[in-house]
Amino acid sequence: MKRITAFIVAASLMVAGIAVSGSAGRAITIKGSDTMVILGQRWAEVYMKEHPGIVIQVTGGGSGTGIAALINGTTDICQASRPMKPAEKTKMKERYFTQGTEIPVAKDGMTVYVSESNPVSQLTIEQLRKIYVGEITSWKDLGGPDADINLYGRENNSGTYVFFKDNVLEGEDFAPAVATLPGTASVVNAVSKDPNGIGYGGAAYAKGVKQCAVAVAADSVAYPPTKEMVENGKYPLARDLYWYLRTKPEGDIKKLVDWVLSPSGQAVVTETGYFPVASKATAGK
Amino acid sequence: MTLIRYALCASLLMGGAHWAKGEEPESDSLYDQLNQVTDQMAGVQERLAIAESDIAKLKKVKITGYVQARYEYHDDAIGSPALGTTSSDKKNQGQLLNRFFIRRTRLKAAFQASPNAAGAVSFDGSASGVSLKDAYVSVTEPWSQLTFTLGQFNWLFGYEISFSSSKREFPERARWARTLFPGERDRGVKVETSFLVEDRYTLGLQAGLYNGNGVDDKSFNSNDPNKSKDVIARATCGLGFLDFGVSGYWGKQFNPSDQSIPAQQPSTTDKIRYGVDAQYFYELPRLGGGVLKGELVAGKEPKNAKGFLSGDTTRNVLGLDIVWAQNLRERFQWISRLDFYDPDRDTEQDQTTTYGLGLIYFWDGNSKLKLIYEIPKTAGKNEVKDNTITLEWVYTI
Repeated sequence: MKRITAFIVAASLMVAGIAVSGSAGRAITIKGSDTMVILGQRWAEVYMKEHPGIVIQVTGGGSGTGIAALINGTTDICQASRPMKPAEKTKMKERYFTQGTEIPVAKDGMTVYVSESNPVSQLTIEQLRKIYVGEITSWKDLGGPDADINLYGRENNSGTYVFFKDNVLEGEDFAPAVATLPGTASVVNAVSKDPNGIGYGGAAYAKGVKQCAVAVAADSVAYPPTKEMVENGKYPLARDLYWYLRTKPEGDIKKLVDWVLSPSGQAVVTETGYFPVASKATAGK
Repeated sequence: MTLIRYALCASLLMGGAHWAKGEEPESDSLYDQLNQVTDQMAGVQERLAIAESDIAKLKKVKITGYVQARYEYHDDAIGSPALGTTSSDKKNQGQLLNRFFIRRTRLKAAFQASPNAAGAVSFDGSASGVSLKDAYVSVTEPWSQLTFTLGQFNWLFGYEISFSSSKREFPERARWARTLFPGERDRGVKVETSFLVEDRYTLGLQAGLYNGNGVDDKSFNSNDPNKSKDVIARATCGLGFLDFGVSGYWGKQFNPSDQSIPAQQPSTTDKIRYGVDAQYFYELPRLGGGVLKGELVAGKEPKNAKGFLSGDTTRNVLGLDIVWAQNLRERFQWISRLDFYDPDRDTEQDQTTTYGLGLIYFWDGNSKLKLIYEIPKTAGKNEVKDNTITLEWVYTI
């Protein structure tokens, strides 16, 4: 009996900790996709202005890093530019007994950047695959100058990297010649200074570079990554951008999610250079 | 005037020459410096490319592991929950024992050189020494997506046997798993595949061929205990909120002490097990996710596994465990378990039912503290005083 009592006392002390482990009064943390950092930061700025007393901290690191942080409990919200992988869902299930809550919060036209001086302005998915696996190495083969193609890309913890690998390279490995850079801004910067460079990343970052139109096949129409083409589904490299939570949203986080999906939150999406998601019911309902 | 003009021109020319003379070395110096910087940059880029290549290779090696440090407080001086044993010796009853020990220290290195080939090796360090736990190579045939694994790995029966001890709620597996599948591993070959159907649910099929007696068998390191191989097959279905599976085991028990049969033809006895398992996941407002999961195993085993004779009979075994675990917000988890094992359904008063309850506190993403109380109850007069309190810290690398 003494042992049972000791056990119950110890257990009660542990449970008492629950009361002080709540989320009330602390900052909401958002971590993940580098593609979505500027969008997350802009959302945070506007929301904190409209809701004094709420503190939101936004950091990048890549979609994979954000999902790992969500599973480890070191962030409240994960921003991801790709869906969760089955292995990540399994880890989530093992720890929290949930598969996580997936909320599409914006759309992006994954953009292929080339230098503004480059005469090449459209490419097919197959040409992009051949370029990035190292089968096409000269701009001459694409109707451009007789110069080597300089490849720029992202690190493998990036959702953009995974999306490009899955949807363009069909799962093949990137060529060793690809210079891996830590963020989309770095890719845009490198391509803008390199007349023979090519890179990929979110549409919102495309400043000082030319955005290529992309065709599904050689005999298809090439569409530019404009709002209209992304929203009507014609641009072939359009993708959803997600927020992931461990459970269904509640309290302050639910209010934030509802706002992000509201016309005010989606207006920020458009201002930032991304594309809004179709109007849906609010999260957690 | 003309002279002055000539003098001026000459001065300008001389000055220009002087300027040109003075500038030329400066221009050379800048050019040299630019060349030097360009060369340095090329050198840095070369070193960076080598470093990136080395990092890419290192990223293919994944090192994982965990430590389970434990404090146990239990009634029986001989019985060890860690080993799944209890003592029936009266002199040990009521002698309180408490101790600190390291239950498991695992280190696993997995290498994936390409998407279709991988290898892994893992070791366990404990009070009894260091032992090899896993050592296997896996290849995935790209067209059919069938994965073949050869080496030493988990028996693919049920879900708890292959569920890592670093993630499992209770410190030890259910009694039927510890008894029927000691060590959880064996050497053999397995083939497995899974399908995603309509983007909604997953179907998995697995089949394996094993030596049969497992890593805890004394002859394990040098011998296959019998000529025939044991077969295990498993099918699973995952709906997200509900995962379930069925498993079958068809094997032979070698009987070395059976003197009635010539040594060249050792006798064997059937060892057959069937299992069903299910896990139901749900979410409660404010508290978070929870799971209700269970496994039921029924089988036929040699009556006396060590000294079985051809004239002996077999026994029917039955095992069941049901776990209910519920998150209490982010950092706490409530766990409870009913663990039942009947080693012979035809014999009365040999069943053991263990009731377990506890709390898990997640210190951070890598470590958790478990406090668990377990009450084993053996039917009838065999009941002994062997309740246990376990305090365990699990740190995952």
